[in-house]
Amino acid sequence: MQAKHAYLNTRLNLLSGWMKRTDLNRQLIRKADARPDDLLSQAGLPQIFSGLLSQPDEFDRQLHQLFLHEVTLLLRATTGALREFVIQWLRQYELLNIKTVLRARAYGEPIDSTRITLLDIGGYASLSAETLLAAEDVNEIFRVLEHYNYAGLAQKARRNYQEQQNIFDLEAMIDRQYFVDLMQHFQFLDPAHKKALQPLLGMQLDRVNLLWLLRYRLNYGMDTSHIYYLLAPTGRWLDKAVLMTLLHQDTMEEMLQQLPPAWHKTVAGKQQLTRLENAADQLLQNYYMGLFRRSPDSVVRLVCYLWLRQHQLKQVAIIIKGRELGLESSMISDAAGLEDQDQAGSNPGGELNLARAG
Amino acid sequence: MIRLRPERMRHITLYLVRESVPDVSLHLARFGWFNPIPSNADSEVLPSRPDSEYQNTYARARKRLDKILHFTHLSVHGETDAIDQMLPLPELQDLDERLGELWQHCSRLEEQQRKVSEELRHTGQLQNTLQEYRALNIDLGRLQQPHTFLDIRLGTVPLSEVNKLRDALSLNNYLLTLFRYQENQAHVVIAGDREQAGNIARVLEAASFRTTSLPAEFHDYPERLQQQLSSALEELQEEQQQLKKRVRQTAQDNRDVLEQAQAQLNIAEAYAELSGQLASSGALGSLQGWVPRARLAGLRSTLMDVLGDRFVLAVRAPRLEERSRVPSYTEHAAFLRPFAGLVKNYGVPRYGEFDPTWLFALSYILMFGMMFGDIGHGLMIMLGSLLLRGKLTSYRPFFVAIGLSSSLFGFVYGSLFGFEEIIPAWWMSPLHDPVLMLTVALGWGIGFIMLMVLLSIRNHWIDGDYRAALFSGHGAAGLLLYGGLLLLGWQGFSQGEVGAAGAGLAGLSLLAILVHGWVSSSSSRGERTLVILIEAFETVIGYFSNTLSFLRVAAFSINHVALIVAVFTVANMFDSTGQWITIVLGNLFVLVLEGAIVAIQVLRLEYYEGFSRFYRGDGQAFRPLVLRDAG
Repeated sequence: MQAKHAYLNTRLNLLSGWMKRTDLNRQLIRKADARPDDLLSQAGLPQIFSGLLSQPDEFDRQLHQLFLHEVTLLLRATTGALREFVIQWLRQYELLNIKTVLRARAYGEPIDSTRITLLDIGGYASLSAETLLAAEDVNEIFRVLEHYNYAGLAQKARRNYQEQQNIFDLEAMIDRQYFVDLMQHFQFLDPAHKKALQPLLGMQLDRVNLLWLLRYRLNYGMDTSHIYYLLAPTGRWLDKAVLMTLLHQDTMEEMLQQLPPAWHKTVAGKQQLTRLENAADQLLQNYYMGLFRRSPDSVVRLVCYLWLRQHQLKQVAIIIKGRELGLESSMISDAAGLEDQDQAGSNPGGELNLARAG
Repeated sequence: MIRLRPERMRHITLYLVRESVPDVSLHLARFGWFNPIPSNADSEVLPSRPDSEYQNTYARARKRLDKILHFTHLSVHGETDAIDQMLPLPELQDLDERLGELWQHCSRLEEQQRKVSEELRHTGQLQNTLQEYRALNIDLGRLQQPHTFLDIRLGTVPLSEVNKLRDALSLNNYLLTLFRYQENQAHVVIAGDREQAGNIARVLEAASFRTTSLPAEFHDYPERLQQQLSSALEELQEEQQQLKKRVRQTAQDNRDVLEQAQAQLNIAEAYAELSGQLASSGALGSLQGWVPRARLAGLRSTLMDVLGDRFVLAVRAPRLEERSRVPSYTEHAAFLRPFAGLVKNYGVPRYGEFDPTWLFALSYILMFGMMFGDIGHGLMIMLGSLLLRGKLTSYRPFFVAIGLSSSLFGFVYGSLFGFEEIIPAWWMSPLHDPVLMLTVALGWGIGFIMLMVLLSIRNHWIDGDYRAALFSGHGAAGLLLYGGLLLLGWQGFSQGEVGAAGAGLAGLSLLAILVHGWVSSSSSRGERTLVILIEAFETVIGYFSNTLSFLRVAAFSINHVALIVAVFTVANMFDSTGQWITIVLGNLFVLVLEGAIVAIQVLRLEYYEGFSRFYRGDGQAFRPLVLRDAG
């Protein structure tokens, strides 16, 4: 099985050079670094990026293209159900585009400013951005979606939108559908890979469900049934019973108390959702980094790499934008989730606990 | 008309008054020989400044027109001959607005059609659901009567949502029971405490729950309900027909408007495209592009017509370093066009590169005939070409040519539908002396490969790559190496020993190739050694295997006869009628199956043994500014 993926493993090893330095993003924040070229290069970013430091939007776009290029390289080393699974994972960007265009059309935003915010996912897109943009109102968007891979989604979303005229519900439904479809593709994977991937995908679903549940319950005050319905499929530790228990709690503190130990230890004491999100990301980062380095299964390493690289590039984009806006280092650290990295770095037990528990 | 290389091009820079660009673009599009490129002339004085507003308005209007035409199934021809001025921006904006209003009308119709289709589907599902209750013979209205404490609902929900919805509802002490499913839709009953009804409203909406709401008159016995649903279906079908009629009416009412819009947008497209390449500052603008040298006089005349003497045209020949970016255009005679299509399938000839179309056509026709020689089969291919319809008619000369070649070689081999005794062979049947056939094929292959290497030398030379022309594996050294290897082979076979001349020629030319490889490479010493040794090995093996590859020319001609012999052997097992049926069917089988295989094999020989040796095919296609739909 591993010989079959020797090329994939080689590709992963070649691409993962940036993982050697874990403090790169922190170094990037320091304004004293007048020439961050070396750091960008060590972060696995080509020369072109140092010339784009003063253009955060273009920097963002190029980061996205770089990530897409890396995914393309990795996809060349995959076949069949695994390849389909990774392409489905990439669809998150297409769904982001759909949500952006829906929002723009619902609120009458100008098409040109919408166009520049759309992400280009090249040949992996099932419908082009221009096709989406050519739709002139929300109902037309639904009709367009029906002609592509999103017929089911369009039918549900249309009914929901016509009854509620609520973009928030629509977006929540699209997000949930993404994970439902991803897990459907997961079912077609080789049984050995499924077994190996289950815990790490489960952690992602746990993270998503925890954050959504807290946000819907505490920020939007939604009804418990409605919240439960909008959640993604259940993950590793936060199963149906845990989620229902959480939904019956009234405060954030009570909810966090009811979490299983693996999650409780990570998020206990976090009073703000952004802090909690950063802590959750940090937990996943440690866990995935450990798996990437130790796992003999190249498919596990592939999924870890995709998440880690996506997360790292997201942090780089936040840092560059923060620097350009002249924000304080602490504020940038906070936004990029590096504060929690420091705390986790001093106590990196999460990774080991999870590994043992899994 | 035989063209050996793409037409000579000239780079032009046109300086003109900015305000005249719209009209110039119309005339240049009518001229049809100007391939615009982004203007970078004097980029500091004349920065790139596209007319974005015009481009965006045009793009939006074009999309709207396309959507309307697609929705109404209309096909309109935008006649532009009568229009002699570029569409100004205010008129384009006005057109865009009118198209926007028309599209809104169409969009509403489309939405209504969708709703009616959905209602039809829903009513159809209700009819099917009703089948479940037909045997009950009770008044279904009782199931829907309000109860004081109990909230009961009957409805449909996507099948995939059932389990999730059941769990979600249980949080509000509601029960969900699935009693039937069909086409991914689940028919369910939901029951719970009426006091909790308010809490489940949102989740039911989110889960796309649709109450199976029967109108008051549907609170009845299934038999009667069935009749009512049937009449509802009829009404919806009638409404669907009415909507279709309205769409047709919309198309009919707006046909002239859409034709005019198509024409106006065809005109506007020229400026929208050209304005993207424009550089300008204040009142001055500049355009750049490529024009075939033979069309320069026409260009000047076009510009004089529209601008008088208010322009400056700078013309120059392509520079050596920009040859890869110069568009290439070769005008072929009609009978060569299908062959040109097959050449382009491999790649567009680079500017200045030898255009292999005629050589390809000649060698393809010749090899096909050699491999598939039969008078009858050739005639069938020629007659078959008459059946081609639509776009495929352009391939008629191709089939006529290979059919003719097949027939001519049929005379050479003396074969008519496999019968070899009706017409005497001008030469001999391939099966008569297979060794001679193989020798001829080998000779043809050697000549073909040598010609390809000569063309490679010529292409390198034209590109100014003299070292590669002289010393590369596909250059003069390669040709000498091949000559040396052939001499060695010939001496070995005919005299039983190899001579010093052949060995010396092959050895020295191989050494030249190795030295050339060493000098041309910039990688590390170890890698360089490895690469040039492998490349030299590949060159020698390549010449050897490519030459042997041509044995298939003889092999297929022998195969053709052998297949026919097999058909006749089978035919002889039957009586007179069966014999003729077998011969006809066998010939048909050989014609279709072997004919297709030979066609592919010849193409393979052309591409891999021929083109790969000399033809880069990485040129830029000539894309002149033209008016869409122009006659």
